[in-house]
Amino acid sequence: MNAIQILGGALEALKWHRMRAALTVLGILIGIAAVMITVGIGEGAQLKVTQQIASLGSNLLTVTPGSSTSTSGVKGGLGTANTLTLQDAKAIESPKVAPAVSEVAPEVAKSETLANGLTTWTTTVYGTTPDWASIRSRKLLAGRFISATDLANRSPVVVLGALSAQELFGTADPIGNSVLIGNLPTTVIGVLAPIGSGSSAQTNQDDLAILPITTAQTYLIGTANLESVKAILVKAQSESQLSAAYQEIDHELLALHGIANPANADFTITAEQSIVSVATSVTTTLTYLLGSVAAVSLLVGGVGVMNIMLVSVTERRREIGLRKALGATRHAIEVQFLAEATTLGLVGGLCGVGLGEVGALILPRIVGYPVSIPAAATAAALALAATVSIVFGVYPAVRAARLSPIDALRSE
Amino acid sequence: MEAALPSPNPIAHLEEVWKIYRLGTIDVPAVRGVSLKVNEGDYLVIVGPSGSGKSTLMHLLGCLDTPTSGNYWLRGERVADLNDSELAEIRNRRIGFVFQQFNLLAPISALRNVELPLVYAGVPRPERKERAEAMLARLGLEKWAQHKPAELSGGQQQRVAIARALVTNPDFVLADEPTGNLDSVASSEVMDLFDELSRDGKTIVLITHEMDIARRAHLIVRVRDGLLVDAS
Repeated sequence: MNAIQILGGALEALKWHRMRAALTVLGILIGIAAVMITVGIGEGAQLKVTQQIASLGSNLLTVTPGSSTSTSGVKGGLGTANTLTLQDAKAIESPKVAPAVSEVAPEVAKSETLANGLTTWTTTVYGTTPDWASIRSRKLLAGRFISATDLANRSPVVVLGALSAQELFGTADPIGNSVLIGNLPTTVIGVLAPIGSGSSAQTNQDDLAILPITTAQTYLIGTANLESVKAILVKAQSESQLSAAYQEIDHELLALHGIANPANADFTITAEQSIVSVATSVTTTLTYLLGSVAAVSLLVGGVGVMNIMLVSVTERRREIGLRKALGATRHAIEVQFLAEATTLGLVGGLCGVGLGEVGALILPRIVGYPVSIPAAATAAALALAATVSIVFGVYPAVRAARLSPIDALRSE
Repeated sequence: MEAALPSPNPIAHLEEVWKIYRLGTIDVPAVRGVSLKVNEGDYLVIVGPSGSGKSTLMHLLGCLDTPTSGNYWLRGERVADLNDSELAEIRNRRIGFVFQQFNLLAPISALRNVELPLVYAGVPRPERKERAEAMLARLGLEKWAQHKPAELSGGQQQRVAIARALVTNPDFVLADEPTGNLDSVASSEVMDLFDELSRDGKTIVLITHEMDIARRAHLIVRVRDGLLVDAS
């Protein structure tokens, strides 16, 4: 018998047992679709997280005062000391000192109550420089960002986050209106476009107010050391320049602060890149988890195929016996049953891939979550379907072929 | 077609054949030292009550089962020396089976049922169809070729089964209680067909428990308790 005859025979036998064949196909189909959709959700999650982190600025370094590796007990904790100054920021900005650095934005921050008439709203007020918007990849919804002139003049101007603007002004246009920050009357010059992430007010990047750093230092912070900053945000020329920028900053600040031993550094440099890799590994783990759940469901589908094929062997004992009496060899019976199992697996696999693709189109609309199925996953799912049905089809086929023709013929 | 002369080499030759089944710890001998020759053109009937061992004998003759001891030759070839696929080929080409239950495949037409042994013989599809149609026509069933077994009467179904047994042109036809499921009219029709095939020179081995059917044959072998009682 050639391949076409074998396939024809298998299709015909499946047609005789339509219901059973359909149920088997359904089992495989659900397994395959589950594999594809779960892998797709995992991939989608990874993509989304990566994009969100990229929006924070992926070639970003943050210099914070204090040391996280303190062992001698004297130094303050991360972000609490006053060891970073505006001079540090200016030094890093110099292309001679740090050629790998493209933009620098020192930052001071304070929680303040903002008031528009009787409406008040408490948020984090940042003092920074014009480069901040570019470093943070932030765009303006309306108005303009703070300028070098604002910085030089210590102008009382403020740029609001989208949420803060809404809380203070509702639907009205805030541009040109005045807002009282603490005791400082300021004019709103711009509103940042929302990026909508973070769940609490503290982490919500749309809930903030931005002043020129000079204004903030003079009128809001106003303590002993006017020049100290809470953080310096640094953007490298490119992602590949990130570690070069890191080394340049480290070297320059150690020199400026007169520290010989890098272990005693009174500042810490963190790369957003490390957050990206952590997030990536988290979502990879998620993908593996979902994938293994799906693989189990495929295994169940495979056992289903074996079960159905075994039932079919039992139900078709007479047919097998007759075929053997009419001259079918053991091999011919094995091939017939294997061909039936493989056909079921492939049909189920193809339908499953179809359902998976449809699911990948529909699901994001329902859950608001991206689902992207890689082509490799589709191919792997099909290969898996074929493998599962062949592996689980072999045992029933061998059992069918082993049946003695007389035992088979006698049964009814 | 004239009846062929008995050949010195029998088609099938059982020599001191034993078949012992093992039920738990007890050995049950079903066939106890039977010797039997089937020659070309024979019309042989094996008669015996149920439990006499005649079905076991039929399975041995049909290569559906192997003897516990003793020898079985088919045209001088020792069956015990053959492997599974060689046995399958013997069943396919040299023996035509007719069963009490007809054993037609219900989902396919009479024609496709008759084609089935030719599929395993590796006959190409057009020739298969031609030969199956010719065989159905010879048995007067051409009108029923496209009908499924359930649409046929018992007698017609058994005639389709006989067509299937003959289509590979086997050395002999082995029929196990072929009239056991038929009414008397259909029974005599089917038996008339066997008589006719015998007249055409076909070698036929028929197993039954009904004496009046046995009387149609040239040779009657009686079996009781796994032994041949007499051969006439």
